[in-house]
Amino acid sequence: MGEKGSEIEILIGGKAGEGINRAGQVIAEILSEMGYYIFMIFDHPSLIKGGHNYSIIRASEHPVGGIKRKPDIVLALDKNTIKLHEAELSPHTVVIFNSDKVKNAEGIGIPAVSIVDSAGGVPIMINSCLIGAFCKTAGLEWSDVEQILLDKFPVRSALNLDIARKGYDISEVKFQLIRAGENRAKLITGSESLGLGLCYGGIEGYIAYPMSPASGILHFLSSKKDEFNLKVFQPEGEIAAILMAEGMACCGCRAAVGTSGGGFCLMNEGISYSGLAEIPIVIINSQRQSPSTGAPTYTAQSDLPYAISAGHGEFPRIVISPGNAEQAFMWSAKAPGLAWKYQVPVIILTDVTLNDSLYSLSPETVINEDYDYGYKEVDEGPYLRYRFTGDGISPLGFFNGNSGPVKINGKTHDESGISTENPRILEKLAEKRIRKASIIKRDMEGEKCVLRSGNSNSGTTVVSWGSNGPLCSELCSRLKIRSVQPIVLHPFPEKQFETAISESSKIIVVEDNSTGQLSELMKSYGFFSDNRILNYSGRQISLETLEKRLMEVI
Amino acid sequence: MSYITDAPNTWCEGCGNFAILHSIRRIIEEYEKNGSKKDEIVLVAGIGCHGKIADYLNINTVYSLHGRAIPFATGIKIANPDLKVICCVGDGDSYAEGLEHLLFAAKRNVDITVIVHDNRVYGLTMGQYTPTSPDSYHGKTNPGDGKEKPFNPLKLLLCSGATFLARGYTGRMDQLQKLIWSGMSHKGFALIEVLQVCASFYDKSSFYDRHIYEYQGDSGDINEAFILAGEWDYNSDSDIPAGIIYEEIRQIFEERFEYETTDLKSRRKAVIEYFGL
Ligand SMILES: Cc1ncc(C[n+]2csc(CCOP(=O)(O)OP(=O)(O)O)c2C)c(N)n1
Ligand code: SF4
Ligand SMILES: [Mg+2]
Repeated sequence: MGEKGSEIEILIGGKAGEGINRAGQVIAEILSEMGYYIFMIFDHPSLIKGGHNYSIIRASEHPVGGIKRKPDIVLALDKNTIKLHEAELSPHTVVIFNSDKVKNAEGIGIPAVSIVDSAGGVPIMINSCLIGAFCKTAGLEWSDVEQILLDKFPVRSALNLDIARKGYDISEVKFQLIRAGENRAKLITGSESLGLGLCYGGIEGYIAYPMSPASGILHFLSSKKDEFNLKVFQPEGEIAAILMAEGMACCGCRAAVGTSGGGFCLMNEGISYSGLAEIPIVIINSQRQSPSTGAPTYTAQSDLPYAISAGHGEFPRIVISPGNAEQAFMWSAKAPGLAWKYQVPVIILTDVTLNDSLYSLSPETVINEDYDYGYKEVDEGPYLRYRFTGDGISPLGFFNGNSGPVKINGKTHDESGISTENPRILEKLAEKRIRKASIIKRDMEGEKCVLRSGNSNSGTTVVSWGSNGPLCSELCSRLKIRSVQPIVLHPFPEKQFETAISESSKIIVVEDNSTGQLSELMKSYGFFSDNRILNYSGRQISLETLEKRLMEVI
Repeated sequence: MSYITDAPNTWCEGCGNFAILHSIRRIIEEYEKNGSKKDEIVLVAGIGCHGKIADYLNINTVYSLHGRAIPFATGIKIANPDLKVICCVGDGDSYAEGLEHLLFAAKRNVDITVIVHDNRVYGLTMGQYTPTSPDSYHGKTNPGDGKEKPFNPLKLLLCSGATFLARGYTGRMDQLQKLIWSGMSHKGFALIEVLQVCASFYDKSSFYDRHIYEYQGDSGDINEAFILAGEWDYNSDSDIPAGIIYEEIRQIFEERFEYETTDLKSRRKAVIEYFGL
């Protein structure tokens, strides 16, 4: 019998349409209730029925940043789950399988189909049966999980519970999971966290066209629009989405949009418009793997230089890349304020890993941050939308009748917003944007743009960004080396970054792309990396593999 | 109070855009005489000769992007349904580059008034053909060999669900002004397709003067509207009806966005409650 006290990893797999994600979530919630920190990935090809879907849940007494891909328990709804993950199984892995579907397997066979049938259930309840079996295998007392399960089965709860109990009774105890502590955290996906953060940051509108992996934000906010008093709308495409959001901004209504690669490409003219016409807007670009339609549901960090330069012409912007639910909440709550303070586009770069994964979030740690930035309001005298000022920021007036005519213009314009191509004014406009950029850069040094963790005295520093940040942080803490994660990537937080990596003898950059985009960006600021660990498989690198690859270069 | 800015006007002499500019100016004057405020109006312009109207009118404006006036306007209405929004768009601008937005605005019945400055040519970029140029029009980029027919924007918009459709002509300013006024008074998506003379690249004024007649009939019948819209196919020498082609009352788009509060504190409170704190 295996023993597991402080952490456990569970893989649950089956066909698309079998409710794998939801079943994984229920397991995650049980473990979360028991005081564990959770990280769960959901791996799913871009299809609705068939294919192979799986979730990996890692639960630990310590904050979790990634998965190991060395499951302690596997829940196999079908044969593929065992076949496709064979290499990940170890001698101590316990496989719980649906013995009505999977023959000749080793482990704990549960005749889930028969149990569900004889109880008068429907096929989706096979999950409940296997979850019940899992609880027993993990060594959980029925009395501890009963109430939790009841809460997690919103429909036909009694029947689901009955089926889970039958799975529990038939299963065997293999581990002794103990309560890790009080449950302090809320389980939340990255997409939900981004949506909640945006609301907390004061957006009134979210306009988006469906596109994986950003759709989770749209679905979540749409389902919560009455609760949050939000205007959520799906328009005819991404070009319309960003321009509608900018139209809202012209009325003093904070708005955000969310998309992925191709949709972000379509938004470029709107980003450029925001740059010249100085319209505040928040844009989430959830990165997917490969160019074009690429691999929609697989992860990458390959839009960094693109996000920094998207839209033609030169104009200031802010590019932020949070790495987990906590960072996603904080920075999507800051984004609207930053966009409005400086009247610029703020781009939040996320990826499949962040959007689709489930995280433990302690709301108390994020809601008390300062998210109020204010903006330059209209003052006395005739209103000039683009007044030249010392810091390049003009008072922000809206179509609300408070300031006389407001003339918004995406063509080069004079202070009042009337088009001009006068060479002196073209120069002044460019200089206005440059001044604004330098003010933003200065002010952003006052934010916590760079996170440092692990052993800060170590000469070996691992630099990573986005969803790899928490992963590297966990591993580096264990290996007693330094981990540095720049969250704000543009304007590049040079001073903070320099401090964070100071006295490093070796800098290793970890990224989910094939060209070393952050590493190249660092180079342009004079920070040179010694090694790059690049992963472009569309799946977040596992802790095990990352450790191996780190050891090769340390 | 002047309704015209001091921006130098760069439209060609004889350009039909002047008639549209002054029709709108007069309407705004009227509007203020009736006790409303011009600050309640926003004009959103596309990019082309027509778009310069944003510089010339001393009111709230968005000088938008080529083809994209409609999504800006839609966003404005989502944010503030009380604003009166006029879109001045071109035929290249809204029938080519941004056609999808136009059709969707009609489908949704967004309460905006769209004025299409249809000079049947790309004016600002020097005379290329547009979706409403006749097949004989030989521009810089097309042969004009009769092989590519124009489409009929009125029929297209009827199919898309427009609840107010009219056709005007820059050579008949009084009627034009009335049509725009009616469009603005219509609660829902209104489009006024304006046959606009381009003095430099496509001056059809004598043809229009001869063929355009003032239509006054039953604008509530969709079948009749289709017949009327199809009377001239933008290609032949038939007569051209000008007037209100179709009008219908249907629920407007903005109604689904009417929320009571925009208060940041209450939104934050809702998030905190969601967290169960
Ligand atoms: C995305 C984009 N493509 C092309 C252009 C160039 N452009 C400017 S105006 C115009 C055509 C204008 O024609 P129309 O909309 O009919 O307006 P008009 O000048 O006739 O009033 C074009 C193609 C542009 N500004 N933006
Ligand atoms: S080119 Fe044609 S549309 Fe443009 S200003 Fe001259 S006459 Fe008017
Ligand atoms: Mg034109």
